Amino acid sequence: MRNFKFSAMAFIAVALITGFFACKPKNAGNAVSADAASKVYVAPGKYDEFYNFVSGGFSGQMSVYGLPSGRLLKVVPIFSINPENGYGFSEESKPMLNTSHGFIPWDDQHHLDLSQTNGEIDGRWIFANANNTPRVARVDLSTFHTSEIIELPNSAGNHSSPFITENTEYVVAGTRFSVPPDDVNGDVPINTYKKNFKGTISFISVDKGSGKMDIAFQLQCPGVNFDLSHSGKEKSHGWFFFSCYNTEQANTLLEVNASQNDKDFIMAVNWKKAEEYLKAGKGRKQAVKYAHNVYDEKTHTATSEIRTEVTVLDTKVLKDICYFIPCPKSPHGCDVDPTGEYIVGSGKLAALIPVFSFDKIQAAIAAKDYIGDYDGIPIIKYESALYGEVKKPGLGPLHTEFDGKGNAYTSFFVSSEVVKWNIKDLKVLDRAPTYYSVGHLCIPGGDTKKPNAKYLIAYNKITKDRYLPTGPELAQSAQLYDISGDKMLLILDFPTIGEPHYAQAVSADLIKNNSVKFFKIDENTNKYVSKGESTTKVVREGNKVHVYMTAIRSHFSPDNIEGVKLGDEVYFHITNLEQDWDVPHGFAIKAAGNAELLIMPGETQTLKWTPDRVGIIPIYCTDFCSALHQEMQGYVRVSPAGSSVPISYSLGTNLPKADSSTKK
Amino acid sequence: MKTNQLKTATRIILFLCGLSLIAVLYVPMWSIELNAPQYPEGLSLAIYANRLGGNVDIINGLNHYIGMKTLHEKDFVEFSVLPYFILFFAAAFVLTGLIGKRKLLYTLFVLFVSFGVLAMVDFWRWEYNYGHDLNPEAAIKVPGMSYQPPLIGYKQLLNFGAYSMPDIGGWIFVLVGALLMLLLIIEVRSFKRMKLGANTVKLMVPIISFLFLSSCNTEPKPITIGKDNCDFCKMTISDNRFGAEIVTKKGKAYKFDDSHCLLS
Repeated sequence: MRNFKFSAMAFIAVALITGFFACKPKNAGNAVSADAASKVYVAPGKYDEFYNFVSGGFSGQMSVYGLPSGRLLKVVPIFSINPENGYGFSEESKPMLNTSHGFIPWDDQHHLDLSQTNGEIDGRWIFANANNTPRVARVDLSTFHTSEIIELPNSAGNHSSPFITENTEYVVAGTRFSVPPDDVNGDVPINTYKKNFKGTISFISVDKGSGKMDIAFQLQCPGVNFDLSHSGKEKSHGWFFFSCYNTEQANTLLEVNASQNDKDFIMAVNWKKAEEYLKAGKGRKQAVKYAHNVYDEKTHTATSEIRTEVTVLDTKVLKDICYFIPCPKSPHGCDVDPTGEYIVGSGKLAALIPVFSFDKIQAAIAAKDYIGDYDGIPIIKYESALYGEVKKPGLGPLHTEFDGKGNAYTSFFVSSEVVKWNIKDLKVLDRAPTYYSVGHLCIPGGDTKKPNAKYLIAYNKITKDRYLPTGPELAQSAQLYDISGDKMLLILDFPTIGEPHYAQAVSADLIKNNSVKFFKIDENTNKYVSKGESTTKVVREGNKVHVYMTAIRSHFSPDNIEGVKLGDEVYFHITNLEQDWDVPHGFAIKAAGNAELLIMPGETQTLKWTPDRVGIIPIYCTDFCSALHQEMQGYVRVSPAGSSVPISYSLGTNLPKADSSTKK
Repeated sequence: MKTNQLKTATRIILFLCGLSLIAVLYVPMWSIELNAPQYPEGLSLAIYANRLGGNVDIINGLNHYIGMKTLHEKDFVEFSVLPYFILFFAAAFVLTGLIGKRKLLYTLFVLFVSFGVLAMVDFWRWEYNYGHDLNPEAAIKVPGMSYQPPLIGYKQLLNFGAYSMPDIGGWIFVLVGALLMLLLIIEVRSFKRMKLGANTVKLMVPIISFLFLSSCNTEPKPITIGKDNCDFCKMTISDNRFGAEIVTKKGKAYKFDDSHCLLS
């Protein structure tokens, strides 16, 4: 009896405990291969293989990382002021951020595209978009400076931008938010969206030699949201493809109202046809206002002009420019494979990936295989344009990049993974988890004719526990995968600034040898340049005082200035006389309501200062330039308004009067 | 011998069971854990006798995308009646222990088991409605998909792995039930001493325990990474994070390299 009771109790106890732990799936560990460290280690003194240009998202800037080390090399200011080097603070750089709405100190930088020649990256420029106040910027990759910014009229939410054609003929930008065009009365009720709001696609031409941008023409399209786009290549060169969502044309609670239609569209644009119409004078000249800002590397000055006219082609009236192709469920990505034949749509709420064929699209257009029209634009039958669908690849596809070997890599936000699939077979080949919730991907050259498929970088939206915690605000996370073999291998995980959306990567060889080391002082044609210490001066023009100053290790010339009065506007024009590599000088004024200047060798930059009180104000060099950097300083004497102290300036001669008591 | 009176040991155990049932009012009874790659910290829904606990707000926030109803305590009539049921049984156990009549034990057993079955049926029905009664205007609609959480055990729902298990309160119930059954057997056995052979009883216990455990039977077989192939798509299972397995009632394990293959 006792035995029975005991064994029964014991049996039940054991059964209960094992039952408790049964069935629960074990938590998986992170799978990183053992030789990952050797793949990403770049020894001290050695260069990385690739430049990775990463969008800064809500920081407004572009960051540059080296691959495979993941080291941050530089943050290039484009659309946001940068007190670190005076971008947006110096008088020369302020015009870069000028718009038809005035000076704007910040923007949201989403996408980047490297310039191409013959469908291959040429390393000359990189183009960036501003999402908030629609603009496109061109960054010069020899100086890593923002060279040009052009504003876009008739636009809002410049998201589908900047995407370039095979030979950088055009940089194309599309609106995310449809709005009433600039030249009509915009004071309409918001719920008249369907009637009054239009989407605009801007074709910006790029000069082959100088890179100068100009809005060649705009296409006025139906009021949908344009998301991402890519140009055709090879056989599809001459066409552009845009993903569109909100075909429901909702103006409120888009989360629900723009997700109702089973299919939205990919818009195919025949821009060669648009060029024909433009030549034939079919475009309507519209009166608008938009800024065009250029930074000149010889004068080291930006100039801003407001342009007043743009040519618009109405796609409702001018036929054969635009066609709609149905694409499942709010497409985000719209990517063209290296051969130019396959167009991959990624519907962010879809459970499959449709792949369209350019040849089939052309055949459907020729045969007028349409199922109707949307706001005057024909809709091609889905099955007639479709090559095939990738079934059950994952949840929430966003963006596809290509490896040039016939494979595609698609990011999945909801299931937090990258999926490799073969384009011809439409079969899934491999999956790799991302930590966590990946947005965009980048393969060097992955959206050109010639991808360099050694690495793939996934840019994730959620970071959580990947790095040491830093309070509630965490950096975003980027992951580097080795895709040179059949299976993807995770080799590195690094945090990024801002929020990376799109990124571009290119072999370092294309850029590193063209990198400017310093600016030649002889070529400096800035209005306020001082080419030598003997040419420095301080000049009063009414209540404006111009200080022509030079900086060289380790002094400013002049470094003692007197005669400035309260009520003056003082402009310090500093020329860095150095002609050597990596010797910048900084410049700061005590209590100036301004940032510092960081002046590169051979450059001239100007800082404006309005003194706020009488007294002695120190100035000094802020960037460690030499052993006697601490001695690189000066004083400015501010006298009361109306004082009779004359302007005087000197270096080394303003010595104290001899003291009579020490005379022997 | 007083044949309609329970043994002293039985009565003490019944009394203690009654007291432990009161504890159920203060601890979670059931928990549904949700795991997804972007939730390394995990999410959980804790069901108490009278309320919901855990990450209810976060779960509600996520579920609205797929059209599942927002969980509000006031929508559940169960939360208002359950505490009374538990108190009733606590009192019943205590009284049975004090009074010690055999007939009371039989009645208690029948009532308790019926209650347990009723509770699980009600839970299943709620889970069915929660997973099937979706808002037609939901943003994410996966064709043919429903999101009924598992009654007990593991189930993949889109990118979430849901694991439904009793929590402390639930285990107390289970333990009390098991003890109740054991006591019943012992009492019956001693009452009908001649009718049931000792060997028969020795056999009955493991059989009953085995049947009792069949809801969450054998452990899943470990997946050998790099070797095992997915039973659906034949790809090599290369990553632990995405491997999935089904263990059927008979104990056969099916292995998959991804939850989507498992769902197919």
